[in-house]
Amino acid sequence: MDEQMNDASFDREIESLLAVEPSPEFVARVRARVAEEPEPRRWWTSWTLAVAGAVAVVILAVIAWPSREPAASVTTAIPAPRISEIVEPVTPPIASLPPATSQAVRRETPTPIAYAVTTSGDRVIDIDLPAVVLAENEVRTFATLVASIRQRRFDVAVPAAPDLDAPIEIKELPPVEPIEIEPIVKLAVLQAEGERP
Amino acid sequence: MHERADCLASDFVTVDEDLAREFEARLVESSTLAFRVAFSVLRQREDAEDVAQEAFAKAYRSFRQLRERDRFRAWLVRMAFRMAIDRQRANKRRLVREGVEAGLQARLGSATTGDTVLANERAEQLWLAIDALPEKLRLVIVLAGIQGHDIREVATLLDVPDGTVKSRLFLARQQLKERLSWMNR
Repeated sequence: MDEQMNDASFDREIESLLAVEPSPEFVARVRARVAEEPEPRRWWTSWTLAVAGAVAVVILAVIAWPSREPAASVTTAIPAPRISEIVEPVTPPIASLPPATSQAVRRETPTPIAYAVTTSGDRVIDIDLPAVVLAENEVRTFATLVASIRQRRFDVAVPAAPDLDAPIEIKELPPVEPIEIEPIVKLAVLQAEGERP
Repeated sequence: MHERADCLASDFVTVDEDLAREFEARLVESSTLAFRVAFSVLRQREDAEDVAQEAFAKAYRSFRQLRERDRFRAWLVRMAFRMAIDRQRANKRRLVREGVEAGLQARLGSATTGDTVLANERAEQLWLAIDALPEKLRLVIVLAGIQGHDIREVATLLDVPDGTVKSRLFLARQQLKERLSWMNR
């Protein structure tokens, strides 16, 4: 009983120690302090931003990553000219072309050829065309063909296309004559066979 | 599309307003509790108000992320208690650095009559005994002493079973009595 009384008085004593009220302006001060705080962040907003950033970084990395093409070991790389443009390739003349060697495969470092495009305004624009892999003998043959055309050795005029709308003329066929076949003489053959020994 | 966006934005505004209103309600109902928890450690009104204020600011920053809003008081109490302990340690370090004797007599004010002197001495002894308790026992005895919290309320605030509160209260009282009797010898 004394113990319980003791506990109760003890608790009252502690309660009286803690019965302290904050100042009247305390709540107002807390409100002002909270008002100074930035707006609480939404957790999903920060997560969305983080994910979007990560995706953007991955896409940029994939785009910016240098692509490694396999080195052409048997062929020569030259840039492909555009047919629709006036292109003057800097190719050696036919006379200076090296003779075809018996060695079918040459291992040379591909050297892209610079192309100069001449426009009507006397401007020369260098175009860096993408490299096209071609066999060396094909390159040489094509250069020879181009040079020959330039020197007008070949008539490269394209024949006119036939007029599909024009009426078709059908010539009359010659009359059919009966065929006469002479009868086959069998007796002579038989006699000749009988005369054999 | 724009209507959807407007609808979404208005929803967010509504949610923000609801949160602000809810926090205001929590502030009104828990301000004295936070202050008293801080005061039980610091025993200086200004310091206790500062700490309680910072605890509320911290609670506000994370209020949106608090899933169980019913746990706000428990959350605030633990935060205020920890922050008060940190402040007390910082104050002690500062006093040691400045070479000032930290006497409780000066804090409790000037006593004029004999009864007041005795009451202040008793209060000082009790505070010193509470300070000497381990943190777990100290928080239980303080929370039980604030606003007449019963065992269940203290258990809810500390998120522990009722039996744990009972045993901690028993141990705390025992240690306080022993220490006070030792002081009175």
